[in-house]
Amino acid sequence: MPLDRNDAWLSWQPSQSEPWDRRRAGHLVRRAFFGTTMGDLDRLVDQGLEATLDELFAGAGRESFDDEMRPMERVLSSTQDPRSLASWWLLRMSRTPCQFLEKMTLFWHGHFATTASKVIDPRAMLAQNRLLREHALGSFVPMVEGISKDVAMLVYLDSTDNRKTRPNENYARELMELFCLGPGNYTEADIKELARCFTGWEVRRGKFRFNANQHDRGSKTFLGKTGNFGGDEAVRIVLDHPASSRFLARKLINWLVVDDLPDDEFCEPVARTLRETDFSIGAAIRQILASRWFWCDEQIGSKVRGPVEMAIGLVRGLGVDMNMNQFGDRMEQLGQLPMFPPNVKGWEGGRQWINASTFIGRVNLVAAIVAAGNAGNGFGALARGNDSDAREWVSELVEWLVPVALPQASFDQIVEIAKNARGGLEERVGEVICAIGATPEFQLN
Amino acid sequence: MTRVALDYLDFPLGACMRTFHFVLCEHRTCPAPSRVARRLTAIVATLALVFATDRVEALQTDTSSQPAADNEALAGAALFPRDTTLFVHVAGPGKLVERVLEHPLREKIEELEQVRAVLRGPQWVQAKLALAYLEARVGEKWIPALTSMTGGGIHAGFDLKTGSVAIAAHADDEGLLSKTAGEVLGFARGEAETNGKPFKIVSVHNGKIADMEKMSIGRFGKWLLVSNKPDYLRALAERLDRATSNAAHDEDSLAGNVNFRAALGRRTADSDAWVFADLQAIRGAGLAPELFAGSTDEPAAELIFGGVFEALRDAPFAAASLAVATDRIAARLEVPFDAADSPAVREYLLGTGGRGRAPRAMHIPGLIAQVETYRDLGGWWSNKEALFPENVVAGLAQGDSQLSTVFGGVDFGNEVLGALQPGMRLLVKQQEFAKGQSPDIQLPAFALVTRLQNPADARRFRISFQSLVGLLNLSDDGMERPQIEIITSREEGIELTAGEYWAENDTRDGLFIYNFSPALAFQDDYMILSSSRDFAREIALATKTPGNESADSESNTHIHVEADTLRRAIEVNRQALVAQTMIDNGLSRENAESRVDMALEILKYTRDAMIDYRVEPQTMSLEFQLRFAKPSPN
Amino acid sequence: MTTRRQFIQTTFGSAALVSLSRAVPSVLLGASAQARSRAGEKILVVIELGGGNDGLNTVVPHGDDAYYQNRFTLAIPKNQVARIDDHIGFHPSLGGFSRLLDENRLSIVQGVGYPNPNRSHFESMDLWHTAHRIEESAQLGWLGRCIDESPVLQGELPGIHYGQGRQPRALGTRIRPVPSIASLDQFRVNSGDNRRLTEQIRRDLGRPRGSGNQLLAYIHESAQVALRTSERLESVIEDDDDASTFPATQAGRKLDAIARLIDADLPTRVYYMTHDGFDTHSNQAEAHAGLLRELGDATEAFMRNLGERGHADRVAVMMFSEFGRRVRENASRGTDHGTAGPMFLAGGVVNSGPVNKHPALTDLEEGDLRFSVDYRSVYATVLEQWLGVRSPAILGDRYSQLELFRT
Repeated sequence: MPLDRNDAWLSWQPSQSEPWDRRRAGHLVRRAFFGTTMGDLDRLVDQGLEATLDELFAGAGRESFDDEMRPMERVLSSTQDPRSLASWWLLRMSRTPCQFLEKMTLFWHGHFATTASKVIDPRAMLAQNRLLREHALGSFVPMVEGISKDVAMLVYLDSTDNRKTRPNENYARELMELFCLGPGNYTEADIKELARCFTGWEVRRGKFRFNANQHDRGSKTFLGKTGNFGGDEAVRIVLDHPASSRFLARKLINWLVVDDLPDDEFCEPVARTLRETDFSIGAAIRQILASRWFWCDEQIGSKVRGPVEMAIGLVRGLGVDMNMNQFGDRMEQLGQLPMFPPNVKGWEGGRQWINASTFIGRVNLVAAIVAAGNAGNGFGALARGNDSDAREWVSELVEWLVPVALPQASFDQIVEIAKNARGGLEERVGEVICAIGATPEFQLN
Repeated sequence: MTRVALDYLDFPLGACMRTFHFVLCEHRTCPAPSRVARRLTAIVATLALVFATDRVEALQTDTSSQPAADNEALAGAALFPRDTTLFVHVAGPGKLVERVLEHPLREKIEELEQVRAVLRGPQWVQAKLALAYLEARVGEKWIPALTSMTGGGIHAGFDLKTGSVAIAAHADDEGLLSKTAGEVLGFARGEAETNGKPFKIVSVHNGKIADMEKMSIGRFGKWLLVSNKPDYLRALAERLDRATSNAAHDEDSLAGNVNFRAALGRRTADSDAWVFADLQAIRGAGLAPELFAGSTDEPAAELIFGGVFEALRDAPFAAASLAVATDRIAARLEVPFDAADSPAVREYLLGTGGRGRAPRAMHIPGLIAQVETYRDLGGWWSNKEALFPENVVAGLAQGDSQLSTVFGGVDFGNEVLGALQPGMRLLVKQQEFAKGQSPDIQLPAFALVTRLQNPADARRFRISFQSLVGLLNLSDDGMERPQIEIITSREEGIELTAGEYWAENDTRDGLFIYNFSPALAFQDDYMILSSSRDFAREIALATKTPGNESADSESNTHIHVEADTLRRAIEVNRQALVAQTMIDNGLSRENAESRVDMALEILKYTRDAMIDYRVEPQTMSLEFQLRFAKPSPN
Repeated sequence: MTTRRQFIQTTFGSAALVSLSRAVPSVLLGASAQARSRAGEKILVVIELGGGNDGLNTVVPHGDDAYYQNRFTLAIPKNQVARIDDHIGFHPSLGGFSRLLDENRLSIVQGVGYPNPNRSHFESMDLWHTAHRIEESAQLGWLGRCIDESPVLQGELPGIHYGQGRQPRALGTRIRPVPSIASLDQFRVNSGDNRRLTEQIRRDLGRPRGSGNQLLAYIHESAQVALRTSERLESVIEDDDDASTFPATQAGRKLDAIARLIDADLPTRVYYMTHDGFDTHSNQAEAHAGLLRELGDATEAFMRNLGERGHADRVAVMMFSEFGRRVRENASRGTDHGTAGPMFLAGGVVNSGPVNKHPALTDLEEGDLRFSVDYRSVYATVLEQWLGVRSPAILGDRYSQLELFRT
């Protein structure tokens, strides 16, 4: 039964026709997490929806995990190898107890896209990463304020030398177009005036500083406001523009719910929440994840799996230890190397993830993860129930790994592999996972 | 119940047999030379590993044991055909195994997480059970059993043309051999019958042969023979028959092969395992062509291994030996080589008539590693057209153009490389850091110690060095690094030019660049290029002190790594290594730490490692030695 | 004042249509990637000669005494020049180019540069990469702009940077990232038992899918294209793996791979590769000769290979360098950064031979050649006449076009 548009944002309750089961728990896991083991998925099913959502936001274990990773960050800071940052982050994603926080940090990294290939200094990239994680589920306001003075961002947008005689328009343009408002909500004149507000903002010796001598103290007029604004005030003015909550709501919905976005009006309730809570990201996300619209059947598999969420999800699900440098190489081939977004717009996502080189790359990646797992403890335990009943355990694997049903013939073909492939149970389970990973359905989220 | 237990025990033995089959027979189905080569390597490596132990003790007490070992090898070789491609002799395997098992390092290695996983694994447990069962049946513990069943050594031969392999064990105790062989054959028969595979025992006049699907086993008096080819095994048995009836060795056997006798004549007394390889046959079969081509397309590989390529191009055979003692492991690989006949293009590394010798080792306290070598870089450069194909020469020309620019327009190939004497040293030492300039990752200091043909060239090098270091100040890579100040000082006959980072105003500590204070020092005709100013000065001072250097080197190249200083350098960087291990293996901090700490622990049991590359009038050899240490409390 | 986006809208029609054409599977647009013949789709291969190629020793003005006066050690003796005409000729290492010229497959544009020359490698290269539009956006390159904005390059995987290392800024996009591909393995199923897995994928993708699910239909179709490319590439590679007709140089290997991708029927329209090492300040003679030989031989092999497989007429190879070098050689038997230099265009239907005059060696500006052709004229010609892309939107202005292609 199609969902009425007026009911879309009402709170969802499990029912006979839409039960809280592995399929729906898996939906939440794929969207909000990277992935869980089969056992953990069952745990979520057992504890119910409310407890699962609470667990999502609670972020248990964060401090001790940060402690575990901190010495490594110090080591990476002193290297001049920005590439190892990608490996570091992938390792972090594959081990953190707070998957939701980490995945939202990845979202913000795509939103405030900054690439280490230009910034180079790992300290600056790590500082930005910490900033994004700090506010990932908090308020958008301090996040934008922070990013406006973020060294990596300013280096990336060539805005380390912002002089009153020659204001740099790059940051002003991106702040409105990409970070807060979206195109069509401002003019070129607004960009020029906003840029004047940021004059005197500089980076010196790897640190942000305000150079009062270079700040343009004249009056500026933009987005309908006039005054002798400084940078901080300017950021607030941009955020107060009515387009900002709409823009942010759409980005969040796009990330969490669906690739092909509906109209503005449809998204308005989330925008309202953002306005009413002074841009509480957590409140907006909770509203989205609790909505009927998020849980309706059409939404399960309505997105294309991003390379990182697919790969880390599988690594976590299978409990595999991988060489994160090589893993990073594969992520690069698939078009999503963390810390190295392709351009200032971040990753376009959706259909862009799949093309002639990346589809094969995905198949190869799944095979590589399986191979790494087979070299370790193997996957025998993933064949639940009786080995002789291949149909049974394959079906459980498919339910766990794929959001939508496979065509019957595809399923039968995989059951054949489960029965006839060479080697012991361990190898056969591995081969089944490779085959599942090569289906078009697996590429959906 | 018994039946179940037997099944259980049967499995590992079957598995062992299958593994054995695989190693011995599988190459028939995969004729690709590389796979054969890989299998060959696997066999040698397995044998070497299994039988690596020491006879140094024996050597120390009884040097007359050499002819005995040689005679043992000859007795084995007499069974194999004259054109055997690869022959391995292991003397006293039982004792070797015993020594390996008693070594203090063994315990440490068993604590390694990866090793522990294997030891806990089902295959290992089953193999142990199978061994226990066999011990019970034979009535003797396996080590003493092995000792008396192989008292005359284990001999293995491989024939590349036919893909035949055989292993021959020479027992002291015929009765025990007979009993064990009977037990093993009993298993094999059971296995074959269960699987419907052929199994047949044939009596011949001097013994019995069991033919199975992919393997034949024969027992002839004190000899146990195993082969993947029934015919090959029978041929061995016939030679054995002739050898026992005649006192003289069969001239048609490997023992009568001139090359084999020559190789055996050079065998060092302390070797526990010894390998003879017929390089002519291996070359003829087209195995590993890169190795025998006589040249390489890689300029760096030529610079390091050019001499090896030279020798392997025509050497008729190669011999390898391995010796293991409680205090050391030593391996030696050698090929015959006529040094006087070495070609002019490789004089840059062999020296005239192969007489190029590395400079003496320097005694500088606290070194992690030192390399001394004879390399005339100018000669290497000027012979590039003769050494490399056209596209590589073109690449070198591009490198020359770029490096000449870096060196301020000085012709890099001829005027920079050509200005150096052939003897050079590379030294590595952990460095101390000034407060506030201590990097988070602390690299050791490196130094290249060379001598100038003409000390007057020093000025030219110094100017190039200054412009090179000055370039670093201009490079903008987004790190906003501190600037370098270049200081030249002259004291005690040493001229030192060094760049130092000016870091007073930089609030960021731990910067990686603090590992470097690039320096160029001159003393007499010595030129020392180092990553650290202090190290450059220390070496320059050392070159002034007569008697600092040790005795004349007999090696072309000598490498020495000190375990203690290496371990300290690693300990300083433990955090960085843990981080690297986490990333490289996707591990949690805890697991990564235990892995790094175990490596450090094992280093405590190691004293040093040496590699010697020697060119003697008739031989080219490579020696590797690893010496163990009694771990100190710290 | 129009915004950049409004500008794009008016130039390319509805922005919605542009994004629609990307979002909707091509089946629904009536042009299945499989069924469509690619014969009409022209391909551009760009070779970047990094470091600043010495144009005067590439196309040698052997008829000009001033050349011999300024190049006292580096000049190519008259009798060694591969003559093109009485005035100019190729460096003797450029046998590949000479033969292409004999076959009417090489066009030479001389004295290419731009006003107020910049002699920094990075800054000049940025100008070439962005077509002088650095200030407008931190990201877009001239080819990247085509890929983002031009309706004719909206197919799947429109551009590829073949090679390792950082992606050239020319391919910088804002919307559709261009992949850097270091090895053909990226297009091949390379798990442990790839044949079996490939066979399984083939069987599975052969089944109809996704009725009513557009997203799934899109993925299914992309996967089919991917698999076909993979299989095509596998057979192409098996065909002649041992008998590559390409020289065993870096440039040869790159062009070999690009030729295989073209032959595997990849939908890609723009390939980009770099050939570095031209910054010859010292000991130039040997180094430069090697670089030119590598370039000429690889390009010749590429054109020959494409010709044998029937692709020569739909491929054009454009070669450029960020600047030429000074007319007078320096004291280290090398040359320093200069200004204008030649560009080359190889292909089955190029207007072969020199299309203009060699710049004068006597009329210099601070010891450097004056440019006679703006590089953006060459870009405009290639965009309009070869790729069918409207150039003013890409280059920010209208540039006069040259006669580089036979009509």
